[in-house]
Amino acid sequence: MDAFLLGASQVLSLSTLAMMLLGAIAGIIAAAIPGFTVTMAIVLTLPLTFTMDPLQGIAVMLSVYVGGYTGGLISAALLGIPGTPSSVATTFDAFPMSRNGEPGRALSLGVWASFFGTIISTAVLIVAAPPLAIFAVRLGPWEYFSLIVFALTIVASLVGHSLQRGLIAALIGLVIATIGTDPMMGRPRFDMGFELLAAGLPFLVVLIGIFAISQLASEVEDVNAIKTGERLVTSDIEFRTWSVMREVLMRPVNLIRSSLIGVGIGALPGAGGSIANLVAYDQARRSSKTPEKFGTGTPDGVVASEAGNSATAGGGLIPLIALGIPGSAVDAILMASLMVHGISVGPRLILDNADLVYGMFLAMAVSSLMMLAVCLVSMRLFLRVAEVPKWAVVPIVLVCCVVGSFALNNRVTDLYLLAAVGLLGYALKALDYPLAPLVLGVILGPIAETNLRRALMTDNDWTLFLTRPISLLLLVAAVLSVGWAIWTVLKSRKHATKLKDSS
Amino acid sequence: MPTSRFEVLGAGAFPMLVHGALILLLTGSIIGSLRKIPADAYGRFAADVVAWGKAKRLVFVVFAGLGLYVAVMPVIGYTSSTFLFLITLLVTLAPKTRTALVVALVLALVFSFGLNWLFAEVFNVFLPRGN
Repeated sequence: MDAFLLGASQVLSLSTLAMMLLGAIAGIIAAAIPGFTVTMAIVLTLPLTFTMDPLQGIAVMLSVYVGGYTGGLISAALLGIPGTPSSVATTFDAFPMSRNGEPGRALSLGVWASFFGTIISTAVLIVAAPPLAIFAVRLGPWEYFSLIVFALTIVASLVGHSLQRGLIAALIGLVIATIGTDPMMGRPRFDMGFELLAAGLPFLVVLIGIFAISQLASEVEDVNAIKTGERLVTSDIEFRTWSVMREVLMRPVNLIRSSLIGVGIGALPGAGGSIANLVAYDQARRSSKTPEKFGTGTPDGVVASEAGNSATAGGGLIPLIALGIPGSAVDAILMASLMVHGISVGPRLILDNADLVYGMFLAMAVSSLMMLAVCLVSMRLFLRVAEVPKWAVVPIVLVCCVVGSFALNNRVTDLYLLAAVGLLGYALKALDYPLAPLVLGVILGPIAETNLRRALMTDNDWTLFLTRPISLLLLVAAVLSVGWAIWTVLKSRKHATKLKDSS
Repeated sequence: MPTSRFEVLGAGAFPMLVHGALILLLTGSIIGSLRKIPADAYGRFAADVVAWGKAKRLVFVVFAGLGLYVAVMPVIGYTSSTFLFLITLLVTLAPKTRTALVVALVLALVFSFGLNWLFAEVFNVFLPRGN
């Protein structure tokens, strides 16, 4: 209880609340601009939080996160272009709804659904994280190594279209992580005689390069679209805030189901909002009495997609807080920001820094309230934001990335690295390799190696990985996730040939 | 790499494991894709590369600009290099109208001089000044 009050007093201080408000606004704006993802917004917030207290910094980043999941809705509903990958399913129903003359209703529905989704996921997080952490403290290095193998295989099989490419991306991430000094004895590895590489690749620079630079580069691929600059429909928009809130609450089953799907998917490593919104939408359509209305502007579709993607925010924090394993790129950045402040993330986080963890729970709830307030008060202003043309966004954000990565270490050499990694990221993206497994590989690599070597230092017996029950269970789960991915590919291939035969 | 006598696996074992797995997967992937390429694709290869390069020309402009930008930043300093980078890239990407060009100029000024001031005064981070 003391820890909770301590955390609450830090989150609820005036300066933190003001910064969080700015963060929520920044998140909404960032996600409303097509081509600017939530991940990018958080990456760019990170250097600004270095001077803050750990909890204040995390709270600000969480508010950007929560705001960002909502902001994607704006361009999804009005333009039919998802502002972030997490709002793809929102376009299915919110866009037809606003085309039918109800853009205000579509936006309010999405905002309320996001709000309730975040609140439900925070509740699940508070209930689920502490017991899981208490259990995780008893895990030995064997279990940890197996857990990371499991995390990487499930990421590889869930993200992208091909398991092979996902695994290759994850392994490239692990290879990047082996550059620099080794985590146990400090021996130099793969530095090729360059001073630049001797300390290893700074994780955050890799992250900015991989996610932000490659995304920006692929935004300018379409020469014609960028030159014209797309605009929003600006007709009169009417928000009926309270009646819409009632409308959302009248769908408790859909709301809770979609939120729980979001939490579950968010808690799986690697799968985040970009998958959750589609799954929640699909489930809502299947269990609906009027499935034929989906896709024509039914409120159920908007609620399912937005509640689903917002709920992943809380779900993703469960493995991060309980196990020290980030579930998504955004969680990896949150973890990195804690490490910058010298807080080690792992199952002991909740025991050693309880005030921080409770503060994070509270910050989630507070930022969803802020998001709601900001959206309801100033939705009209944000509509303008979505009109910012791409030709202005791309160069400006590139400069922000450069400044951000310089500010991390005050090293010009990091900038060369940034450009090189950005090019690598773009090449992989262009070849249809998923980038999330790569980034998780970079952050999980040292953890996996440390635990593998620690396990064998404790007892020189490889079979312990298979005879310790939890470790065995995790390895079996890893094999199953790969097998399941192969099975679905084979099934869809069979399906495709069948279609070809019948046509 | 020498192994330590305190542990079974030295610093080299884990990288070898990872690289080994990567080599296996990549070999599999190369063989898989080679089998999928139709025979006449090799003849079209050069033309396809040129067409692809043309379609993605702005991407090359962006990366060339970025490379040049970070290369000259330590020499001429953050403000001048950023201003040049932004004005070049914005003018290349923007539609050629008078308003767009004015907006580009203002954005370039704000994000080079303005950002430098913000970081120095507010965050106490000094961006490269140049020689």
